Amino acid sequence: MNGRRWPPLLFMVALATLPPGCTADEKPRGPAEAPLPPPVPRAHLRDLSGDVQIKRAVADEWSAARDELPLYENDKVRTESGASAQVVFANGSTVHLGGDSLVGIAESKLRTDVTVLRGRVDATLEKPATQSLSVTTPSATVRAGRKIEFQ
Amino acid sequence: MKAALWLSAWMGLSVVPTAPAVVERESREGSPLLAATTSASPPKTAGTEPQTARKALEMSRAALKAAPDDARRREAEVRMKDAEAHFREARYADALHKADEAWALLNPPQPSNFTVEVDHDGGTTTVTHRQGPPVTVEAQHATRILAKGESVRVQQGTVLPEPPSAPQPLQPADKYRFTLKPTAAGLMGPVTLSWAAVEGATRYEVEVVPEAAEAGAEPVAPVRAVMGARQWALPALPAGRYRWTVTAVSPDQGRSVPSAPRRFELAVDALELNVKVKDGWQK
Repeated sequence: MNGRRWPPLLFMVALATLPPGCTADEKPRGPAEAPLPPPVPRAHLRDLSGDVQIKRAVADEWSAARDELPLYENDKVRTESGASAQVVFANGSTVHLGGDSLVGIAESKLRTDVTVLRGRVDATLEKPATQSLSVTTPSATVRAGRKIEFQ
Repeated sequence: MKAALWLSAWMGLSVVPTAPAVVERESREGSPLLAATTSASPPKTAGTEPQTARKALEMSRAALKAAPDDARRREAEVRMKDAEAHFREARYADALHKADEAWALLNPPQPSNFTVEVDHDGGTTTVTHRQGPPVTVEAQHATRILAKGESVRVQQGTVLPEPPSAPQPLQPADKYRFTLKPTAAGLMGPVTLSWAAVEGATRYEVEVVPEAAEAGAEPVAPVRAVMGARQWALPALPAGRYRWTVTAVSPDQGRSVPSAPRRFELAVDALELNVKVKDGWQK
């Protein structure tokens, strides 16, 4: 007899615990609604000289680059003849682009940092014991620094 | 009472998260792997693969080969022996850790610098190592290690060029004994080493290591030289036994393995005493 009275009681208690003002049209709040974190730049452009241009991953056009511009995955940077620029990665390693060069910033999920499609780059790691840099070209991949060797 | 138990059980199962779940991503830049592997108690990476440990061993071996013969190198050699032993026993995480320690000993902090050049149609890549620890170049599933001053040219779709063959030492013959008069400083020479040409090589690295100095003599440091020619007139050296090797270096193919070692000995020519006797001089 008593057992039959418990389910309605539990239902009432459950209703009482629901947040007030929640209508059927509203989606429940949860992790799915959390705002996406802003994209983290993989590198920055520095020491620009001459005609240096950038093409964002989502853009179709090239535009003039400027100092301290953040670089994200799949962005491309090109230098005209006689121009130069420095790509400084988050870990401090740097890639100096000579004139008439074209490079792309690699996706972080790939085991590389920068793709050189044309031209000459000089890469420097000030602390290779703790830094790493991986440069990919159409023919080869160059890995420097200690960490990346053991990943 | 029964109702309270039911209620608490139901409430306990209906846990509502109070904060959005955070999906952790491995940060490539932020992962302090070296710090972890050089700590006093290394993490035993269960997933360490043989090829990862092998690559670490290769890097450390290359660094060991290029290192001067000093206390740091000897300490690194001990770590490398441990690393090789672990590798043979398939303890890849331990092998990795020991190889890493050896590498760290041989590579005190100094900047690393290299150049990558891609021609206009993207078909050819030239990598040149300028300074600092070696870098690796991978193409078509083959890997080459470049040390300071070395470069390699890779054509798209082709494998890395094979390294040049080791030079063949010519003179002096193995275990040759030079009997020479020492200078006032007790040094002897000249001794000229020579070797056969290697196709594609533009320079040769020669190393002469003392094996056994005469009793009471000062220990002698190894002497090294990079030669464009196929011979080297050694600087004057103290008496003793020496071992030498030569390595070929090609701008396109990289460096060979060292030649088979050869040995020579420098011995002091016995003094010739001329004693004046009644009827002239007596030797």
